[in-house]
Amino acid sequence: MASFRFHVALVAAKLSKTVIRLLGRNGTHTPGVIAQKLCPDFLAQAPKAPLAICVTGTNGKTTVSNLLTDCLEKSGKSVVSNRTGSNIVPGCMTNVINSLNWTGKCRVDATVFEVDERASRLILPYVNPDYLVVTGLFRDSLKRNAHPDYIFSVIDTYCPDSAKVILNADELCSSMLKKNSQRVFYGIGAQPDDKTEPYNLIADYQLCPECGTKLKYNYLRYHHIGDVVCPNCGLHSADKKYLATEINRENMTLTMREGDTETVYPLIHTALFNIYNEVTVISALREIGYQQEQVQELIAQIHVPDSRHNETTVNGVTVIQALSKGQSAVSSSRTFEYVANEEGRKAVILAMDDLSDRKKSIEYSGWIYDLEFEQFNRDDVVQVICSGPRCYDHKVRCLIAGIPEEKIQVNTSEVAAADMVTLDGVDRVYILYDCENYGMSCEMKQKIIKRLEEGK
Amino acid sequence: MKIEVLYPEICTLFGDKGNMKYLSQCLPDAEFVSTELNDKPLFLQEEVALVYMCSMSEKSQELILSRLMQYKDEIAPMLKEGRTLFLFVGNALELLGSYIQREDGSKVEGLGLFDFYSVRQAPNRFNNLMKAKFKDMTLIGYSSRFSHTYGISEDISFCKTEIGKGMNPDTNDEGIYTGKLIATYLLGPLLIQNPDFVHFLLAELGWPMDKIPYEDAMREAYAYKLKEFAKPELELS
Ligand SMILES: [Zn+2]
Repeated sequence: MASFRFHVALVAAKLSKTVIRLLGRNGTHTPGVIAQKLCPDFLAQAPKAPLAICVTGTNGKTTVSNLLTDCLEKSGKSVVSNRTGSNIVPGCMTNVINSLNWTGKCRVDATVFEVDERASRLILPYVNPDYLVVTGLFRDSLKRNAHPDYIFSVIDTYCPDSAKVILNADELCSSMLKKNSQRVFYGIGAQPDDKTEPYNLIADYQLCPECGTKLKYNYLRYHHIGDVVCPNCGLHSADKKYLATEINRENMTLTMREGDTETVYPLIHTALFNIYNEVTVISALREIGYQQEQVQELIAQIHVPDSRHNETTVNGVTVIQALSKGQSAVSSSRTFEYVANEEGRKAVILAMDDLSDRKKSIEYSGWIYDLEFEQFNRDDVVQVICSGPRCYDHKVRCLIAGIPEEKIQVNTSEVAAADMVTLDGVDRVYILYDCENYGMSCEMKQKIIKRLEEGK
Repeated sequence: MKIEVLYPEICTLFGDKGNMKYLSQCLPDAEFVSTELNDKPLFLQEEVALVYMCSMSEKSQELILSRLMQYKDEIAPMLKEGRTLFLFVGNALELLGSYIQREDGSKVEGLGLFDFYSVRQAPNRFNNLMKAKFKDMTLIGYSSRFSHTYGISEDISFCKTEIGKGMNPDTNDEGIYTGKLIATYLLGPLLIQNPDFVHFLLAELGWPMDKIPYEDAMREAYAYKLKEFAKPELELS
């Protein structure tokens, strides 16, 4: 039985949401804050939806939880998710509030929570999900997330044992989560362009967790993503219940093997990280109980929003804004690689400096030594402009990566740096921006487009 | 000249690789040797000019101690003899003390080469910008950790912080400098951010240089950052 306090908090939170909506805003944060203030154990007391799914991990959790929500909705279920709100406590609280009617009864078939991996200790025990889906664990912000071993211990400690966990067998760290719970694994089997030796600056989990021997990769994709075996004690990557066997980018199909059955699904995106996201979603839907045919139909109806890329072509030069998360060397290194391998002669502007640190603090620049600047040390990258307060640190990093000094420009102002881009003989100009710098990246883009239009 | 990097698979957690990459560009003829977890450290077997170990997870600290413990009597004289230079960055220094206390109060035995001890306090992360005096130079850097260290006597401390805290929130003494051991909580691009310290280190290795690679760009970055330390109400975390 929920307490009187719980009902007061619920009504107050719902009222606040109504008021915020009348003011024309979303109301994804404040209702959660109010509910928690009035009833600190609100999450624990709230009735659960018949199906509750949490999605966490370093990269991909937003995409996976959005795609899962889309699929559940398209299958006819009423679903609430925190897709427009935060993935920390207030956002998840608001999600719960949205799942309840005014009298405190659950009004939906399912709740999907995107859960920040570090905040999971304050969320998972109370949401008490039926399923926890983990995309994988990588290094992320040193200040906030410390290191993957720490995030592992948080999820492992705080996820209730009753949750069934759906894990990425190709990511060794998170695949060792919740050893005493019900677990199923997914992965992508050997592919033609796989490697067998680590080649990225960041390559964690190379040692056997049992005996410390260096692991052998049956296949390796990037960083430490792949299938391993220990030559000393025989430890190996978990067996995959859901295994992607063939990726066909021409026909846009994805073949998945489950036991003896192979099923062909529509491929929703060609980039490997999004294929992992799709495999995760298919595995989760199958575990929830959807038949292969149903999953095929649902997958055919969903899309990955390409909001991270925004390009405009003027007089033969394409200007592209691409997200490159600051302090997140793994995802930004993959962006660097993607940009470097695009066709044509490229100029790159880096605008990844933290927006809040620049005001009152000094951003830690050590992460750039985990970031693969070496990707830009090639002939067809003709200019690298380091912009923002850390531009001088980035310049040193470029030099250590072997990028010739004459190709490097610096400017402590991102917007002013846009004037430094050479437009002569350049096919593509990339603005690599941190999420919080989106506004200034638009300003930068506008300036460059104006110059192109004026023929300067 | 041989430079040994201890356990790079698990001990280069926070951009620490940059220091060695840079040092290899300063010393193109030096041989850099990576030692794996289950191997006996090279410096216990042959002459090594520099031993470098850096940041790791708390779990990795315990893993490494489980391997290094068998050599502790061999390591102790090495630190005193002063043939090899030791540079321990980030929480690598905690391995040298008498113990590390976990959050639940239990203790992991350290190498016992010094009397100090460290105390973990996860989930409280201690983030700390630092500006500190070492000899006549001003070092700048950053520390981010779950632990503090207590009981390092002032006469062997590495540097004194002018901004930011030292080994724990109650002291401005930072790190250890005794014989040819330098150990500091400062992590990441410690060398690259501090060109004067690079000169010092190269001189200690017997390879003083008039000008180090990219020195002008490094000095520009250093000078800009030093100015930022003068921001009013600078937030250290
Ligand atoms: Zn093994």
